[in-house]
Amino acid sequence: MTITMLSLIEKPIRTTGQNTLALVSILGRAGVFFARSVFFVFYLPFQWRRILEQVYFIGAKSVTVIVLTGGFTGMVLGLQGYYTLSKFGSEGLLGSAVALTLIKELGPVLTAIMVIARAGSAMAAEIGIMRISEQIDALKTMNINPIRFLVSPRLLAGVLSFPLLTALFDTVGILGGYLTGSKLLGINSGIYFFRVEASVLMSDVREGFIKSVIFALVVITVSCFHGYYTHMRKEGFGAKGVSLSTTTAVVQACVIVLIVDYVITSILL
Amino acid sequence: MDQPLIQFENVHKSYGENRVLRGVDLSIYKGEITTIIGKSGEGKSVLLKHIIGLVKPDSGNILFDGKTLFSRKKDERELLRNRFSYMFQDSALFDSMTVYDNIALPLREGTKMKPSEISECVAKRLEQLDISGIDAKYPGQLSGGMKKRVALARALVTDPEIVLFDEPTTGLDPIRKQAVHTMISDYQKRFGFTGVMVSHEIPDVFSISQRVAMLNEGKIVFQGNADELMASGDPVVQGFITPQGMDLKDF
Repeated sequence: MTITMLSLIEKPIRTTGQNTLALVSILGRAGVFFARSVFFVFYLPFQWRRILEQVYFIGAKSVTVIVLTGGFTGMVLGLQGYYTLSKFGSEGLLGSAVALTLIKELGPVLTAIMVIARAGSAMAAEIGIMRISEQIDALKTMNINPIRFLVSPRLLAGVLSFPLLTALFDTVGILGGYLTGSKLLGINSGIYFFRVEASVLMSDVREGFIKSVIFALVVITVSCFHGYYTHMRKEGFGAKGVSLSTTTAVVQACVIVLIVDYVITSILL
Repeated sequence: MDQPLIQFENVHKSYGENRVLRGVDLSIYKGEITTIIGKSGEGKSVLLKHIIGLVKPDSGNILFDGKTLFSRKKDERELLRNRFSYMFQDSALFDSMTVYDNIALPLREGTKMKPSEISECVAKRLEQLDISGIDAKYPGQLSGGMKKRVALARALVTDPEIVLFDEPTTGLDPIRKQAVHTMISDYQKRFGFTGVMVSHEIPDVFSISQRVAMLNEGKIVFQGNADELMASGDPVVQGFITPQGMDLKDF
């Protein structure tokens, strides 16, 4: 009886301890992984070709999806904003509402989430497959540092691409808001753009860009980290391991982006 | 006898409960091809990965030129690794790169050769391995045998001093198999590299190996030349090289 009672008390304590140790271990590994990825960005010679390939993959190939999501987000903001503001007789402020919402908040966050869905998942899967098919070991045998070769170019490309994609998202979104606000619901277009220009300060734009750069670091690190350590997963090996790594990378990156967004907003406000 | 180039001293390695290497003692000599034989799943590839530092032993020592491999400084280990080349069991070709880029990669990253020189070098290796004309293809478009030859070309393109072959002929037809064995032997004679090969091609592989080592239950149970192996009275060795009458469960 006493032994059963003891084991009942011991089990949750042991499980909590094991989980805490595992979490600390993963966080430590992720921290070292990130630090090494950043270090190798500045390691000469620069990998121009691979960086440009990744700028093309992360940046240029995301343009369509960013234009679509940015456009429709702006249009929805135009509709919702109009109906909310009209209750207070302030429809004229629609330009300000749409522009500030997009530039300070929705632009960086939705851009990051769209890039996670399109490029982050692909990165996790590609690196994961390279891991399970010994391609990463092959790099090591050639004295090529896998983090420098695979992760650092993606990290730099992300830092370059995210702010540009965010700027595109914001611009298309403001135009989307104009389409619904002015063309559909009849707000004077001069007033709409005057409000955009008058309300958006440089500090707002800076805040959006700071967020997008930090999101880039988060998204690329989380995606590559899960792919790189696919072989260390306990729940699944081989193809199943890669699929789990990809799913975990996408979910974790999205959640961390939202948490980091809150933290940055509370600091910068 | 000369001092071994690579020496395993009582090397142990486990993965969880699975004790793969249980006190391996092995000597590999410069300028020779040493072939490691043994049943599937005995840990031959794990042993090979210890040599190049992809796997670290739990205990024991691995000496290179008489000096412990893992006590060397990082820079020294990297310089040492430049002298090695490794051909993986499943080829481990970069599947998002063309055959040309796969073979050219070690030269691009590890040397200061000009693109034209790299191109010449890659073309030469492709021709020697009878796979010219596939340089623009991706590994996914090749047969298993062709992938093996591309992997071999990549392993030899840097003219390494020590080449580790992990089952280089598995999946090849008898003619190609013989061609690869001949090529490894010819290259070894021409460039004098030290080869360590894991192979199941018994007795074909004996003709190109100066030394043979047999791994059984985590230990080296035999090392010597092929004649000594054939003459060995050890029932485990004899059971492996002439397996008639052996029970399938032994493998």
